[in-house]
Amino acid sequence: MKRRRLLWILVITMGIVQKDEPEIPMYFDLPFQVGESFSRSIVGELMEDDFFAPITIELVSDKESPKFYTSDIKTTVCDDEICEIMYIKLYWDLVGEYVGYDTVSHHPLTKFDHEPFTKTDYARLHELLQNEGSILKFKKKEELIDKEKVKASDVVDGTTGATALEIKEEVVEGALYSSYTLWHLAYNGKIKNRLTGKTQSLLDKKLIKYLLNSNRTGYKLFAFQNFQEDDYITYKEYWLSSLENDIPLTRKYIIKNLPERIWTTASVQEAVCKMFTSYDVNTRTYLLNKLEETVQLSSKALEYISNDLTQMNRNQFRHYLDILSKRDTLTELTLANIRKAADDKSFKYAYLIEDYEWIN
Amino acid sequence: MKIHSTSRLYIAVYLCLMLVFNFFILNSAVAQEQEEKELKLPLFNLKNLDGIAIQNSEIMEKVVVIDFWATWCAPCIKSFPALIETENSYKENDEVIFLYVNTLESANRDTAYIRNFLLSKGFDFQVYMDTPQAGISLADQLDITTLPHKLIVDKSGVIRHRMTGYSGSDEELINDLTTKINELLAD
Amino acid sequence: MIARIFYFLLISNFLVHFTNSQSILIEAESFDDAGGWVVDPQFVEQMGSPYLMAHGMGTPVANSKTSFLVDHAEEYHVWVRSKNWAPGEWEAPGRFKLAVGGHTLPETLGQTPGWSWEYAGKVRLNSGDTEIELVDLTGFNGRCDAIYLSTDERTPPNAGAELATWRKEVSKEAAIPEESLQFDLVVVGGGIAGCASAIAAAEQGLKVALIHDRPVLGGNASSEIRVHTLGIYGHFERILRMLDTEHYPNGSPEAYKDEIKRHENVEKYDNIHLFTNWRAYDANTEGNRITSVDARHTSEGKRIRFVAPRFVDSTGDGWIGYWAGADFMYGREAVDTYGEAYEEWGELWSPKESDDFVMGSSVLWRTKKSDSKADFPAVPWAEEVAQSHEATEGTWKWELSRLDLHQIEDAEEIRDRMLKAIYGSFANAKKLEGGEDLEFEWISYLVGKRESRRLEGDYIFTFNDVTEQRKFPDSVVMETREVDVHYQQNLMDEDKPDFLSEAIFYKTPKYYIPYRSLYSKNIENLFMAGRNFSCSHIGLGGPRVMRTTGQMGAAVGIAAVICDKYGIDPREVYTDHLEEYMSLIEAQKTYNTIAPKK
Repeated sequence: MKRRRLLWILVITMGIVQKDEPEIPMYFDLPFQVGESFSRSIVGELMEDDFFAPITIELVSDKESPKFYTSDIKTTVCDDEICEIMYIKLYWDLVGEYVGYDTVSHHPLTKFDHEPFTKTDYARLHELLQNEGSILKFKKKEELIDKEKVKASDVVDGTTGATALEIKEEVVEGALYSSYTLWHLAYNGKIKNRLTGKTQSLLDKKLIKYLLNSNRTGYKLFAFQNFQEDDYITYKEYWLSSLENDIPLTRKYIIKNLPERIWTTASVQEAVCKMFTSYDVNTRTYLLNKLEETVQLSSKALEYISNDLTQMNRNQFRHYLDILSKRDTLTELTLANIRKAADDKSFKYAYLIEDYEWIN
Repeated sequence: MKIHSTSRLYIAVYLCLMLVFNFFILNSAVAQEQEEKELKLPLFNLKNLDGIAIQNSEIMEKVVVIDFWATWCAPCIKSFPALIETENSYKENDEVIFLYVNTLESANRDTAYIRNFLLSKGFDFQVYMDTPQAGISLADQLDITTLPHKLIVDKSGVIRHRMTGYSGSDEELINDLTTKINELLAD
Repeated sequence: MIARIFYFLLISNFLVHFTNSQSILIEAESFDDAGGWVVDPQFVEQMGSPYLMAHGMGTPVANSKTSFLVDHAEEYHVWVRSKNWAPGEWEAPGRFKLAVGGHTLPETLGQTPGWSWEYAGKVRLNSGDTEIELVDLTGFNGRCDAIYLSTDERTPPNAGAELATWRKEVSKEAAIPEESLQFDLVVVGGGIAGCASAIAAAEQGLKVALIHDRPVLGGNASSEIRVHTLGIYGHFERILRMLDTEHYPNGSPEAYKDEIKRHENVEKYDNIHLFTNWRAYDANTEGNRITSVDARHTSEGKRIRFVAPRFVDSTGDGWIGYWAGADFMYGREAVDTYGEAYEEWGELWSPKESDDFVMGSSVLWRTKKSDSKADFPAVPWAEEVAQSHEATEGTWKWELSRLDLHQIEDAEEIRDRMLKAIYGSFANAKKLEGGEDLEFEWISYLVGKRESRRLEGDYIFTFNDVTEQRKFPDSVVMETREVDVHYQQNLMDEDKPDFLSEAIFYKTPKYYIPYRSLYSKNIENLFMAGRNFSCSHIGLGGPRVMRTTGQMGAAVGIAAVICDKYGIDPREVYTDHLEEYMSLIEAQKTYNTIAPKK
């Protein structure tokens, strides 16, 4: 009896001691912990001419849904004098955007002359990898100049006219080539395509809902891009909310892809037009273009837009008035708003109204 | 629950063992480093591009310069001329041998690729492939993670010099190698 | 046509009342002494005429002046055609006054939104020579198109066809240009493409007219815009080295050095007849052939009719093709039209549905540290554009493209918006630590366009020609530079200013462009070279840089030589004389003498 208890104590302590370190990536921008119960599956292997070794991509999922992609990468880094193998673990979200990295055990990142990365260096690297618009995008490896003796202000880069100083400001100090290699891995197009392809193959109602409910711009746009016609009815709240709050690219997608039978209902037109004020300049033009082509157009929808006349650009204002000119049923409020704008001394485009006789 | 005194003894022994075990793991790495100072060239069996092998027995009692390189390593390739020149200066001397060992190569570059690569650059020296034996390569055993990586081994098989990188100066490399080789020849 | 007749009748009716009145119309750009004002001819097609602008970068510029003859001593009403280019709840930035016969009129001008005749006041003038001056008050781009003095109190027509007709009446301009000149080839547009075209043709003996609306050659590579040339030389290294630039940072005054080289090289050819400061305004056609191109001097107002059997449109905006009725394209094609997807970039590269987005325009600028504290006035009219953005120089990323702005129709608004971005960002930078001694070194006032109309040829060059590295029997241009397509930053983040862009690069091995993309599909005697060549939006992404457009120009110049030899049209060079054409391209590589003029 006592022995059995003892055995249990031993087993438990062994368990605690032998337990694997939980995976806590050094940098991970997704809003959850990498849990132990997460399952992994291999998505595939990618090999390019300039890869040192094939890159194996893993999909990590929890019980509810796929969560992210990761890969343990072995790659080479060279400067003019010396080369080495670099190990890194990269993380991407479900639409192929970089979200974090980790070092591989026993292989910390080093700068040249083997100086290990400091905490600041690691942080700086993550910042660089988060920057999709980095100058490194435009540079060929041969164009990187890392000579201390060359004065930064003298050196003009090949493609963008930026100076070596600007490159220096973006990369980890003393690790120019590592920074370059890692950035191009994080943003490798072939890897990204593989990841988005996999996510697409996994799409089902559950995953679409997961993507829509997330806060990630990329997730929501991906969901919309994979909508069937009926999804616009099922998920009306979501796309209306995105129209109001999401990035211009997503708004544009929704406006351009709203199915015909959904768009031709007055309530939808009104809901979309009601939010005109919250739209960015380009979305407004897309909407005006759509209204121009719409045969059955709710006059209430047009009225909603007339509340925002003084916020419009010159061409948009004219465009709107042109659209109204072709409609025979305008609400009283629409006309009243236009007349008010015509009299508004602070409205710079009031003078355009003179060209439209039907208003006066 | 009450723990019997013998049980307490078992627990104490168990805990001590755990501590010792962990301590051992942590320190084995350190131990390895200390041994490095007197590292002998491990036994090896490297095949060249035609499949003909070279073994330790062939390099016994000689001063051996081993240059580890890979096709993707630009500084490695740039340092070849200086190495070849140094090698030629010892052409008449049987006691000096130069080995060019390809290691840490890209996964998709096979012997055919390497052969063509060297030919296209005008190099015709013998190349030995550091193919892993039972999962372990010479580079693993020698802890080679940077390239170019040169070892100079004395006549008794002890690694006396390790040089990494290429400064860009052929003259510097030739002088450095020559000085070191001559020192070891004099031993 | 009917509209013109209608307006003519309307105006003549209008003018009958003027028979007893005296009126004098003075075009501001024709002032004898521009002073510190500059001639801006960029927006003639939209607002009617070149104008004088006080581009003082915040410091009032020296007065421009001229004198005119008054026949009758009378009291004259004075109008000035001007506009407030930054209307809003603040003082207009571009304010100036008018001084006539030594007397400064009290009205401040540059206050009305939209180009219109602003009433400047009444003035009593004696007969004889009278001086008139524009007095800049701010240095912030006040602009004056024309001044009209009349004893009649009615305001002239404000804009459009009405204004154009009225102008012709009042200036008693003949229906057609006063002078007519004949050439073997007329090249319109003196950017790198146009210059290369002129040289290539002139070297082989053609009499070439090169017409350019600025005083200096180079277009986007000139000292007035200062974008450096990129791309490879292809078959035309010898010619392009005469014209290209060093790799200076965009906006650098090093552009002057290359400009001097360019002028020396173009001007050394006796048979290149250079017409700088001449802007084409129409192409006359007979059926599907251009018979002549009419141009007007940008300040003197004189006109010339350029007659030739063949024409090259290297205007960038494709004006000659447009006026002649050539088929053209504008905007982004749907991704499936030519199958131009770049998968990982999706909509940012090529859209699912076509739209009117094109790559935008840049206005470059630089600052420097002065020896002492440099004051800069408050610029509330710039804040709405610049917001909190601060900078001390422009880069290629300062690029404006917006769906509601057309790169040609709205070019003035685009330029003005960039000026607001510049002045506002500079003002913000001044407020920072160390900004006290910052001052402007240079701001361009010309729009550096990347994309607008693309004339359609027998072949439309697309992204596929790059990805597949297609070789054509008539490959005349080659390039290795990446396909480089931009999108606006505010597409991904609406809080970003609308004048900043990002680039997407597609790296590629060498690709080729065929000769069939360089002549019009439906206008029989029209070549095109430059950013207005026959391509899709993505197709333009790579070859739009200036050594590549230069190659196009040279290729077209050589083709014109073949046409001249056999009396044929551009298309027939491909169908009937391809081998000879390609051989001539090879041969000109080692050419080292200037051909004598015919």
